[in-house]
Amino acid sequence: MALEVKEISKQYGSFTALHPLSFTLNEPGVYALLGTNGAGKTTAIRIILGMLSRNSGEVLWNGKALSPVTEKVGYLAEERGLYPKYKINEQLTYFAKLRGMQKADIEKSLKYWFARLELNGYEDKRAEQLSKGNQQKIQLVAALVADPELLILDEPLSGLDPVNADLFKSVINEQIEKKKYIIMSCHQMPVIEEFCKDITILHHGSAVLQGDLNEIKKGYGRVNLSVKCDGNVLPLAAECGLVPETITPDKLTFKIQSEEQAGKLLKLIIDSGMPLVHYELREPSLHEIFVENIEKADKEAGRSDGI
Amino acid sequence: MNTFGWKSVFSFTFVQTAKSKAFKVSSVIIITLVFAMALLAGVLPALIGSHATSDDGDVTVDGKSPVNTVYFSDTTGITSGKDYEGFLSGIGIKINDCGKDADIPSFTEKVKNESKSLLITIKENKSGYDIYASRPGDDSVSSGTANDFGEIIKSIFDSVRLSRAGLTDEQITAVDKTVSVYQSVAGEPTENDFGYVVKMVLPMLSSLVLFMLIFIYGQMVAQSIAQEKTSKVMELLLTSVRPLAVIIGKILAMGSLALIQFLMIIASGTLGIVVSTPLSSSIIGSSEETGAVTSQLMTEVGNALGGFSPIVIVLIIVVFIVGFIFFALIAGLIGATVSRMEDLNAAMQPMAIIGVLGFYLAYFPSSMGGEANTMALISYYLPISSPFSIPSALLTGAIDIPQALLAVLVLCVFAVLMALLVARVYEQVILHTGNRLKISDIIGLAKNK
Repeated sequence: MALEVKEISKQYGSFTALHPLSFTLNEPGVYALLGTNGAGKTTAIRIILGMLSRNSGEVLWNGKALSPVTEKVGYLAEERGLYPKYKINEQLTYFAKLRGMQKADIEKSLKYWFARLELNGYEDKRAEQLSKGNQQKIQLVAALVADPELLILDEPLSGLDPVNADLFKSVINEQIEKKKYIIMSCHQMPVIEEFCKDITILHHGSAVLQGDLNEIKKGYGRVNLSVKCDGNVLPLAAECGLVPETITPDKLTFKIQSEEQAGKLLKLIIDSGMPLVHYELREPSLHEIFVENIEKADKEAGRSDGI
Repeated sequence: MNTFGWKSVFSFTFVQTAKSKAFKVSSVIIITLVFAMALLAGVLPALIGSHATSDDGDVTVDGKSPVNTVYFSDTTGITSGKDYEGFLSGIGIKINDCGKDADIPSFTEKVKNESKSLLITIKENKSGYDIYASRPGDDSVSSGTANDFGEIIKSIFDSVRLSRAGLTDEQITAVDKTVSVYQSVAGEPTENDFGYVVKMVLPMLSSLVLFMLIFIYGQMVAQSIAQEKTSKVMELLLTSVRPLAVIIGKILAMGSLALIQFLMIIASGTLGIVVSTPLSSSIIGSSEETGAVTSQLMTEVGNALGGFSPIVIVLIIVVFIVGFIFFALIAGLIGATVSRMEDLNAAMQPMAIIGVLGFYLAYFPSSMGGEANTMALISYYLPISSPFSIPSALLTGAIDIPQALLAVLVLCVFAVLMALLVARVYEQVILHTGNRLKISDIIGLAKNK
């Protein structure tokens, strides 16, 4: 199975909400769709889901046009929505029926998900009686009730407390283990780094960076050096031509030009006999890559609004 | 056009709306009101009749007369006490014939002081005869009873008078037959004042009921769609069904509920009328007079519903359904154009104005007796008024079946055109956020799709 998004674009009059965008999920896993607010993520997701007509391109699932109405697709929208006055069980049954599920399967699935997401006892409550976090769990049940092959999660962890965030993460991990295809949009970069193999960063409707996250990071090299010593390391760093990027009581961080620079500083610290507490040479974080690419795109386009 | 899932939308919307407090309360209120109104319409004439009878009195109450003695004097000499004896003794009344030349003032004084007595005097005037019924000074004999006795004496006096003039019994019966006056437009069914009022009220009621149902439920379609859109449920629904399936399911669900309430109105109205008959009998006993009033009401309702037949019923239901679909499609589209619930009322205003115009266009010609005129003809073929005008015109026979079929066909064409427009723009409108879309934006979307 594979999801192929080919050159999809969306135009509203003279405004281009999404420039031709392509990406592929050749194997199960999580694909990250990142971007600043209004970058075109939701537009792309809506086009993939067939909610929004597109000006060009196609979305293929196993080589055929994807029809979310007939295929098993689950969607957790960024803007959560439930019927406030209706009972949870009734609305979830309705959503499942719309997915073409039979009554017995619906009952079985709902029973599982209510237990899994610690929602037992809320079946006959109205949505308006539930906390925001529990409403979000109900939304996740609605997305997963039909056991979809393709799952689209738009900001799945926003607004959740750490306990429920961990619960959601464990569910996402389960879905990965079950070989599901997942597209995730999220502003929490550590979450993306935790789950996603491939990414697309969108900005002003255009893809500014795409590819395998590990490869992207490798491409940047190990450029982040963080050091903590029992002494003043700044003169030694200056000898190597390094200017600290951040200074905190915990450590100093530097952007290095080459790994030789980092090696030279390490040698100087050891030679000085200064006790070394922490030394780390690492690739840039996704957060850094994201910010750098957005700034670069803005600079190239002559924009000053940035992120 | 993929409409998969409309059945689920239909059943969910139907069940949830039917379970809602608003539907239950409105149904109970409507049923109670219609039942009470129908009951009153049946019982009121009986109540009025009963009240009138008890006020006017009667010659007998439970077989006994409130009068014991009738003093009688026919100054014309045409009749005598004997002519009345048969009837009066039959109800236990003693007749005292005072003779042609009786001393009326002294008998008047006598009756004034004698409880349960009555003085009947017949006198000739220039153009005919006068009958006077004088009752006692106490309340033992009511004015109504005195009047009723006068009427009976008059009836017997007329018969005897005609008989003495040489008429046979058959001829007298023929002369006694009452003559009623009716008026009508040449070639149209006759009607009296009662019928005219009924004929004015029924079309107004039917137009009003249809207008209320179509508009209230149309508004509910708009509200339901706007709620789903603004609460973001729509986004979840659209991963499973096409927008058109959502609007079809909703319109049919709301339409079914409106139809159910429409049938409830008819059923409770009919039940009210049915119950009113025994109820009015129990109120007034078996008075033929009040029975006649109720029966006249029913007859006039029947006359006013001159065109009532199975095909008319079918046509009315079809008009109701198609009319509802036409307005509900507009309402659904309006509901989809707003991004905030507080914008909905403002967005619905143009539709409300058009609807009220349509209602008055339908109501005025029908309230004028449903007579065919230019305004009525226009109202049959305009989709904004035909759902309200065709049913009342059919009920009153103001429109014939072929003409009604043509009007229904025109309405169907407009409904289909509206459905095509909605199908064309709805998918784009439903996901629109931000400022409310204007009519020009919708037309633009339809052109550019």
